[in-house]
Formats: sequence, structure tokens, C-alpha cells
Amino acid sequence: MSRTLIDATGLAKSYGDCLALKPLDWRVEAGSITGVLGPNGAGKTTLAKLIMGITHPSEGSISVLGRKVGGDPVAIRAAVGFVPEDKLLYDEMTVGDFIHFYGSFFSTWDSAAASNLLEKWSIPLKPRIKELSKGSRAKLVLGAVLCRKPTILLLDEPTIDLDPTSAEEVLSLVAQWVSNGERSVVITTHRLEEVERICDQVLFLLAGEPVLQADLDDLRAGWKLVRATGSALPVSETQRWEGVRRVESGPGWIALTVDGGVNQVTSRLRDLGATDVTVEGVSLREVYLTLTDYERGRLDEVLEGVV
Amino acid sequence: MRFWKAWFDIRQRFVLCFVLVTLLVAPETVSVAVSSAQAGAVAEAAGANVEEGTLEAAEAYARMVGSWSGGDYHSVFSILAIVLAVGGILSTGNARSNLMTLSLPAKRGRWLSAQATVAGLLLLILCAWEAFIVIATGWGAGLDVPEGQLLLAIALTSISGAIWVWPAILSTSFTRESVRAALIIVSVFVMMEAVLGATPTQAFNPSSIADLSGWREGVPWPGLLVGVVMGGGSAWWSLARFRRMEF
Repeated sequence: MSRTLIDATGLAKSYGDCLALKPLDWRVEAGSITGVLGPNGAGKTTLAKLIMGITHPSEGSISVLGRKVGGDPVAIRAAVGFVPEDKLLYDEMTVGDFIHFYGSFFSTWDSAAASNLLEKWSIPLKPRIKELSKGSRAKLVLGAVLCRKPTILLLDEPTIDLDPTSAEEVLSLVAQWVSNGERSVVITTHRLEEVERICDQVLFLLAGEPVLQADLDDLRAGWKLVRATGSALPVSETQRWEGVRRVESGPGWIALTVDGGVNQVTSRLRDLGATDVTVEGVSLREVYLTLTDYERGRLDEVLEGVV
Repeated sequence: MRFWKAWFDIRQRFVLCFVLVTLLVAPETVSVAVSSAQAGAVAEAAGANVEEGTLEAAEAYARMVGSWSGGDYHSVFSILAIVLAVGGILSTGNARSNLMTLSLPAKRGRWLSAQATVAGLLLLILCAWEAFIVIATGWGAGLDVPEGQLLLAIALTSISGAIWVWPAILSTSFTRESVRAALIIVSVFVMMEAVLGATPTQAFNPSSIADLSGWREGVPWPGLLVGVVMGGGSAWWSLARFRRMEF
């Protein structure tokens, strides 16, 4: 049985009247890579702050490595390696200064590994951080965090500034990082294809509300796209069917995004006279768009006036 | 490393203040030098007692120091406070770089104490630099500078100034707190002006206590109210945030 590294129970956070994170029950097991997804302002950074003990829960509790976060935040921060989304940090420091400064906080710091990584990524020690490209900054921070050997890696958009080759390297590193089964990674990102590639768990946040958390394999097995053709298919009725998350339709066709109960949906469609009923797997992008109520063509009218 | 980072965060503002202090002090020191030279020349030409001219220069010099500690010196600290607070806001970077710092295994109080200690030391250096300029100018003008008294007067004035400049320096890492500190400073000023008719520097400086004849008749409620609301609100906001560690 794997060890639980993060354990949140009824975890909620509000800033005044604004509920930044609605009650969340969430567990992160050792050896897992969890993708935290959601639009901007969904509560992802708030969750990261709660994990590190930078801010305190308004309700519920969160434990990291078996320790309640409010009790000993320093010990928890020593075990959680955080890579912020914005890599504009300590701009005036040289790379060497930053490595020395950052490493001094950790007894587990591996300076040889840091030198190797910087050499491998061709990041010299002398330039100031502000002189580095965005990609090099991202690698510098990630490299530094890896070299302190945290038990939990908390990555906020780790590949956003990276070219495809560097992004690939980083993703490989992350996947390798958890391979010993003792560590875990939590990634917040908008790059859904990366989540599909390396994550095994996902947590969707929407306006602070945890709308879905699932094992990615279960999600792939449960979520399907059912297409059917036929005349006069009752669109509004299908929207009320159990498991139907989203309905798109056009003249003579209908497409239902379904979360479970796919056999029931297909048979009901056939009962209504649908022909050519097919079932396809859905991408994480489709799941995301479904959860965020994306409506195709919503801006068409506006764009017509603009373009 | 916390102290090193504190120096790293503050150093640009320190250099700016260093230059600022030098520039602010320069006109005063030049006027002392000129008046002492003129006094000496006039006295010699008239065949008068040279000591008389020196005495006049010394008096001018004393007036200058007096004007600093009693009246004008607070303006230097006002500018320093503004420079440090605004510098803090401009050079802080963004909230996310703070997030990176806060993700390190050190308590927030330790970051702040390192920042406060380094800022305090740098402030002392600034004060010492001012004292050095004044004393050096006095020596250059051939004056018999009472270094001990002068240093004491400057130290007392500096400490009283530092009391209210310190929050601005302390807050240099955190943007919102810089704003809060500036609000607290302004509100303290408003309150002191309202109640005493004097700035904090004047009020806390022993050498200018004698001039505090400006105790006002009756309480100036509007000024006091504004000061209390601003100061109380800022302090409450700061404390609440500090307690919750949200910034």
C-alpha cells in the first residue's frame, strides 16, 4: 500500500467574502503525478500556498508527510520543492549567487548534481538571472529544486517558457523523479497533453470548486463521446440523461460527452431512432472543455463584428 | 544567507539614500565653509582678533546643527522614508518571487528580523556618514568642532528619525506592507502634528524639547481623528495579515 504524502480533509480557503477554495477532500499518494487543472483564478495557487503552509485553511485541514501543515511549516517546506509559475525571481542575483543562496537552506542539497545540471543545460554561473532567457530561468529554478531532493515536487506551469526539446527533458526528469515510488509530483498546468502523458491523477478546480478528481485511466474508461445520426433527435431531453455532461448537435447529428453509463446512453439513443451510434474515447481537452462549459461558436457573433 | 539576501534586497535603496544624504548635507556644509572663510578673512583684514571670526563661524555652524536637529533634520528622514518605501515597492519584484522566498524552510519572522537588522545597520551607516561630513567640513574650515557633543546630537536625532523610518525599511520585501508602512508613517505624522504641533523627530529629540512650546490649546479633533483612523486601520490590517501570514 502506497504512502499518503498529502492528505486534505474539507480543506477550504476564503479571503473575506471570496471563497478561493471550496471544501476539498484530496489525497496524493507516493509515486503519483497529479495534474491540478482549471482556468485562471480557479484556486490552484491557493492550493499550492496551503500545501506549503504559506496561508492557513479557513476550514478543514491539510497534512503533508503526516504532519499537519499549520504545526510545523518549516519542516514541511523543507520537504516540498516549489517551482513558481513566474520565474522572475531574484533578478539581481547571479546564477552562482542563486545556487549558493538556495542550496544553503537544505541539508540534502547536492551541489555536484546542481553543477552537472547547469553544465548540461549550458547555464553559466556568472550572468545575473535577469540576463537569462525565460527558458534558462525555468530550468535554473527546476534544477535547483530537484537538487535539494524534496519528497514532494510542486510545479506551477513548469514548461510554460520552454521550447519543445527542453519541455521534453523536464517532463522526463519529472517522470523519473517519482519512479522510486517514494516521492510525488503535483503539477498545475494548462498544457493538457502533458498531463495526459505523465500524470496518473487529475484534480479539476473551477472557481475554487473541486469539480472532478480521478485516476486518469478511470477517467479515460468512464468518459466517452457518443455520436449518433438521425432526424429529430431530442437534444433537450438528452441533456437530462444521467451521465451526460455535454451535448452538441447539428442538422441530423448529435454528440454526447458522457461520464459513465455509456451503454445506457447508446441504447436510449437507438430507442429514439438514432442510427450510426459510435463511441469514442475523449481527450483530456474535451473533458476540460466540458467541465468549463465551453460553447463552440460562442464568440462568433462578436468576432464577426471585430474581424 | 537571510542577512545576505536582506542586504541584497536593500542595497540599491541604500546607495540611493547614501547619495541623497550627501546631496542634502552638501549645501549646509558648503555654507558653513564659506561663512567660516569669510569670517576669518574679514577679521584678519580689520586686524581684529581672529578668535572672534572663528567664534562667529562656530556660531553659524552651531545654528546649522541646531536647525538640523530642531527643525530641518526631519525632512531628510521624510525623504529617506519615502525613498525607501517607494524603492521597496518598485524593487520588490512581484508577489510570486515572494512566494518562492516563502517556500523556503525559514519562518517569515526570521526573514523580517534579518531585513530589520540589516536595514538598521545601514541606517546607522547613513547617520555616521552625515556626522562624518559635518565634522570633516568643520575641520576643513578650521573650526574647533565639539565632536563628542555633535556626535551625540546627531545620534539622538538619528535614532528618533530611525524609529519612524524603520517600518519603511522593514517592509522592503513586501509590497503591501510598504504601502501599509507608508500609511503608518503618515498617520503618525498627522497625529503628532495635530497633538503636539511638532513632528516625531522634533518631539523625540531631547535637544529640541525646549522648542516644544507649541502644545496646542485644546485638542485638534479633525487631525487627531484622521491620524487615529489611518494609523489604527493600517496597524490592524498589518497585524491581521501578519497573524495569518497572508501577503
